[in-house]
Amino acid sequence: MKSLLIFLITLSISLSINAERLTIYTYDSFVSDWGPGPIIEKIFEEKYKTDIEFVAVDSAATLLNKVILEGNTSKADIVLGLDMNLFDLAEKSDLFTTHNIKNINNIMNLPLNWESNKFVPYNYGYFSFVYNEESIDSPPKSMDELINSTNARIVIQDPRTSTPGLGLLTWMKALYGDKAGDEWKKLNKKIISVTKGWTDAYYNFFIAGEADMVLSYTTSPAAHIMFEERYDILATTFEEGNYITIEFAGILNNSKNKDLANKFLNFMLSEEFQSVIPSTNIMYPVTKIKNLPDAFDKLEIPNFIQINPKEINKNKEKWIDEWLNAS
Amino acid sequence: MYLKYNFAVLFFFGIIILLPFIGIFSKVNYELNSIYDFIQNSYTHRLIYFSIYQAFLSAILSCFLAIPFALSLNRHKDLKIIKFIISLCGFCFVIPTILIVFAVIKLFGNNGFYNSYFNLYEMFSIETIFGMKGILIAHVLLNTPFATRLFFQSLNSIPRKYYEISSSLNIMFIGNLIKLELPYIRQNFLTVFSIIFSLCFLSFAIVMALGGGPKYSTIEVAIYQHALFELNFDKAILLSFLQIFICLFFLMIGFYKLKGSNFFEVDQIIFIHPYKNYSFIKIIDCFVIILFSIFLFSPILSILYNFINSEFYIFLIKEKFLEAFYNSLIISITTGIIVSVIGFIISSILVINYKNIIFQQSIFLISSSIIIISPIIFSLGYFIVLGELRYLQFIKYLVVILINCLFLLPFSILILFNSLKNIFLNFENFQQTFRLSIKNYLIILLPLIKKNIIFVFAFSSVLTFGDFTIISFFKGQDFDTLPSYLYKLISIYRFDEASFVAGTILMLSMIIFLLIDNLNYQGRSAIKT
Repeated sequence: MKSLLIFLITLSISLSINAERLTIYTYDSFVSDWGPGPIIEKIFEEKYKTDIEFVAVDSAATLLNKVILEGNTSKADIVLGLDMNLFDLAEKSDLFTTHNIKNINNIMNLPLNWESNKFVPYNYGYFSFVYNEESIDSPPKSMDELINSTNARIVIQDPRTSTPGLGLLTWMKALYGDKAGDEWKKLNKKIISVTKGWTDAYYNFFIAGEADMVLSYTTSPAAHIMFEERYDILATTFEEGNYITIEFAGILNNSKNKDLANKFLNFMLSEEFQSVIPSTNIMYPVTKIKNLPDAFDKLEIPNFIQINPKEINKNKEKWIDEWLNAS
Repeated sequence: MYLKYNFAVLFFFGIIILLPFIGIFSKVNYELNSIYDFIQNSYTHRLIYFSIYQAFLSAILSCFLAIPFALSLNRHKDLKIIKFIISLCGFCFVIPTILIVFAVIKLFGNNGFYNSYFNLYEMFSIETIFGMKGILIAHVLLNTPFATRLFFQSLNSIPRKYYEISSSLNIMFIGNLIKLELPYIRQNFLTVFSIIFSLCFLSFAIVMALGGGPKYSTIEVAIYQHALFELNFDKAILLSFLQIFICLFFLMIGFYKLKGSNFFEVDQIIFIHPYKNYSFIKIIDCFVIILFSIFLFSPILSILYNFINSEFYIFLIKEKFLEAFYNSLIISITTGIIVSVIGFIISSILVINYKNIIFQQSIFLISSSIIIISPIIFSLGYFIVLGELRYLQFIKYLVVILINCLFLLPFSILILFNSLKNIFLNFENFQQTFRLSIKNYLIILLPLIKKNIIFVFAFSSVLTFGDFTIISFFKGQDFDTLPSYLYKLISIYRFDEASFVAGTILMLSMIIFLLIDNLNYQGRSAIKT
C-alpha cells in the first residue's frame, strides 16, 4: 500500500513537471532524420524555452484513427499532418478546438480560400505519378491516358492507411464518378503493389527499380534535384488537373497547453517554419517565403482538383469498398 | 480433494479465453443488413477464395517437392551430412516467417541474387515478385523442408526386413519405390498436407509483406487491416468468425488422423539402403540433394551472407536495436518460463485427477480449441477489450506475453501430461508407501521430467522470439520486438541494418533450435505422445 502511494505521488509529480511540454502527434516521415521535425523542434524550443515531444504514427491516415481511439485520454496537444480528405471527419469528431489566428487568408498564399477556424494549413502540394525519364518514353498527359495507354508497372498506396492513397481514391472519384469502379479495374492491371505507406512505395519499389511509376507528389522531383542533382525523375501533370492536398494541424480540445499550442500554430505560419518546408517535407509552403529553392522553379504547377470534404467523409467507406472490389 | 485447484485451473483458462470474446462481442454491430451486405460483398468472396486457393497450391507444391528430396535423403541416411540436412529441415518449423520474407526479397526481388546473376525476370517475362509468386515461393521455402522431414520419418520407419524381403523377391528399384516406399509416404501425405494447408491458410507475415495489396490478401491479413487500418471492428469480427468456421471444417476433414507431435522424434534407424550404391541412382540422388539443399536453404545462406557483409558493429550499439532486442528477450524468456511452469502445474493437476475424466476432457477440449482460433483473433479481442490501456508499455508486455502463452500452453500440456502420467503411475505406490504429501511427491518427480520442461521452455521461447502476428497489434513507435523492427526496416529500405537484424534473429533461433533437436537425438526422445 505504501509503495503504491509513493508510486502515485511520483507519477503525479512527473505529470505536473511535464505540463509545459507540447505533445504533437504526426506521421513518421515528418519527424524522420531528413524531415522538417528535428529542425522545427529546435527552433521552437529555443524561441519559446519549452519542450516539444513528437509522437509519430506510421502513416498519416492512421493519425486521426489514433486520436479518435484515444478519445479524451489522448496525451496529444496538437495533431499535425491531417489532409483535406480527413477534414470533415476531423471537424465532426469534436476533438478539436478553435485556434486564435485572425484573418488567416491574408497571411496565406494558397490556391484556394481556407475556411476553417479549427485547423491551420502548413504546406500543400499536388498528387502525381512520378516516373524515371529513362523508363517511360511518353508520359501520360491525362488520367485517361495513364489508365488506357501507358505501359508501366505502377505502385500506389493503400487508401486506408496513406494520404496519397486516399488522395488517388478521391481523385478517381472526382474524375469518373459512378464509373470509378470500372476505371479502377483497368488501372489495377498495371498496379503491381499497393503499399501501406508512401516511403515503402517510393523507396522499396520505385527507387529500387521494382516499379516504373509511383503515386507521389508533383514536388517529388525537387528532392532529387536538390540532394542528388538528378534530373531524370519527373512528375506527371494532367490536362484536367491534379488532385490537391493541403496538410494541416489542429489543437485538441482536452489539451492542457492551449496557449503554447496556439503559439505553435502561429509559429507554423512564420517565415522560420515555412522556409524549412520546401527542402525537408518537399511541399509548397503556405505563405510567400523569401528563398524558395531553385529546384521548385523547375516544377510544373497543375490546375487543382478537389472534392468537397463533406462528400468524402460521407462516402469514403463506400468508395473504399468499390476500390477493394475492383482490385 | 483437489477440487479447488480444479476450479482454479478452469477459471483461469475460462477468463483468459473469454475476455477477448467479450471485447469482440461488445463491439459487434448487430445490424442484419450490414452483415448481409458483408456476406454478399464480392471482395469477401475473393478473400475466402484466395485464402483457400493459395494455401492449397502452397501445400500441394511443398508436398510434391518434398517427396523426391525425402526419398534421396532416405537412400543415404547413413551419411553424417544427411543427419545435418534433416536437422536443418526441422529448423523451418521455428524460423520466424519474417526472415523468409526478407530472404525472398533479397533472393528473388528485381535486384535480388537470382535476377542479378541469371536475369530471370527477362527470361520468364516476370514483372514483379510481389503477389501470388512471392507468396508461393515463400510458402514453399518454409514448408518443403518441414514436409521433407516428416516424409523422411515415414521412410525411416520402414523396417530393414522389408527391404530384405523385397530383394529376395527380386523386386527392383522401381518396384521397391512404388510398392514399398511411396505407400509409406502416402500414409502420412494427407496429414502433412493438412498441416501445411492450415499453416498457409493462417499465414500472416508472408501475405502481408509479399502479397502486394488487397488483390492478394487472405482472411488473416484482412482481419488485421479492417481492425487497424479502418478501425472497422464489425468487418474484422465477421471475418474472424468466418475464419473459425473454415478452420473447424478443415480440422474435421484433415486432422482426425493427426497423431500428436512426432515432429521432433527422429530416432534414426541406420542401415545401408540396398540401392544406395547404384551409380546411376547415386548421381541422381547427389544432384537432387545438392539442388534441393541449395534452393531450400538459400534463405538461411542469404541471411548469413548479408549479415557478415553488413557493418554489424555500427548497428550493434543502436538504441532502437538494443530496445527491440531487449523486448524480444524479455517477452520470449518470460513466456518460456510461464508456459513451462503453468504447463507443469496444470499437467500435474490433470495427472493427480486422472480419474476425473470430465475435468480432464474439458481441459483438453479448451486447449485444443485455443489452437484452432488464430492468434490474430485473440489479439483483436484483447486489442478491443484493453481500450486505451493498450498504449501503456507495461500492458503491452503483459498482453503480448499472455497471448503467446495462451497459444503455447496447449502444446506444453500435451507434452508434459503424457510423460508426467507415465512417471506418476509408476511411482504411485511409492507415494502411498511412504505417505508423501503431494507437494513433496512432485518435488521428487521434478528431476524426472526436467528434460521435458527444458524442451517446453526452449520451444516456447523460440516460437515467441519469432512471433510477428501478435506483436503487429501492439507494436508502436516506442515498442518493437526484433521481428517487428525488421519489418519496419524492410519497409523503409534500410536493407543494411535489416541484414544485421535478420542475422541476429536467425542465429539466436538457430541456437535454441539446435538445443531442442539435440535434446532429442541423445537417447530417448523428449516427446512421447
